[in-house]
Amino acid sequence: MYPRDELRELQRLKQENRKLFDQDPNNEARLVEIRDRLKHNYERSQEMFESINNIGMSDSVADINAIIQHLLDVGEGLTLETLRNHPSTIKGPLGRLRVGSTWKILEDGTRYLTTINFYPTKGAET
Amino acid sequence: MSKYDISIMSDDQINYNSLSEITLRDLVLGDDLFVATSALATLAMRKSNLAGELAGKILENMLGDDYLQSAAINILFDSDRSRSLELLIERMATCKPYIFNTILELMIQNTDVFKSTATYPIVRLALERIDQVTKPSKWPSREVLDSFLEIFGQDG
Repeated sequence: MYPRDELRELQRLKQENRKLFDQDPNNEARLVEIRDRLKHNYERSQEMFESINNIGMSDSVADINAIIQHLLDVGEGLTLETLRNHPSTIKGPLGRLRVGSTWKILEDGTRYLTTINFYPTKGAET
Repeated sequence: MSKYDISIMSDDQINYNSLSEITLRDLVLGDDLFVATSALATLAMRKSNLAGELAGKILENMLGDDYLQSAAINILFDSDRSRSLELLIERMATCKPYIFNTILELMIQNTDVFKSTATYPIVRLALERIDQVTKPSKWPSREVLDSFLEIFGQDG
C-alpha cells in the first residue's frame, strides 16, 4: 500500500496553505513521489494480483513458488531472439494467465528477469 | 545455462536517485512499466525538463499502460499547463476509467485552475462523462466522484 494519508496531508497543505507548503522543498518532491510513482505502481500491482486471483491463485507461499518456478523454467528456455516480452502461460485451478517476461543476459551469463507483465483477463481463460 | 544463473530484479531494488537523466529517459521508454513510472516520477522530482517532454510523448502516443499515463497526466499538468489542458479536452470522453479517475483527482486538487471560466469546458466534459456512469464501477471511485461533484457539481 502507498502512504495514502501522507499524500492527502501534502495535497491539503498545498491547496490550503501554499506558502507553508513551499517553505520545505522536500514537500513537492515527496508529493510527486507518492502521487506519481508509489500510487500508480501500487494500483498496477493490485490489478496484476487480481489477474492472479482470477485464475484461482493467491499470495500463498505455494502459489508464489509456482509462479517463480514458472519463470525459472521460462528463463532456462530462452534464446537471444526471445528475450523481450517472452510470452508464456501460467496455469491456475480456474484458468490460465498470459505472462510476458523480458530478460537481459549479463556478461557473466546471468539471466536477469527485468520485467513481468500479467495480462489482465476479464474472467479466467481456460 | 542452469536455474542458478537466473536472477530476478525488481523496481524497488533500483536506486533511481543515482541515475543520470539520460538513463532515466531510457527507462521511461523501456519495457518495464513499474520502472518506467518510477523513472518518470524521479525526473519530475528533479524538476527536469525531460519529465514534461516525456509525459507529453507518453500521452500523445498512448505509451505504456493506464498507470504510466496517469503519472504522465499529473507531470504534464505541472510542467506544460496549456498542452495538458488541450489533452484533457481531447481525451476526457474516451480515456479509460482509471485515467478518468486520475483526471478527476487532478481537478479536485487544482480547484483554483478548474473553477475559472477558461477551463469550464473541461469541467463540463467531466460532468457529461460522469452522467454516463450508470452502474457502480471500480474507477472512478465513489470517493473521487463524490468529492468532484461536491466541488464542481450544480451546487458546488
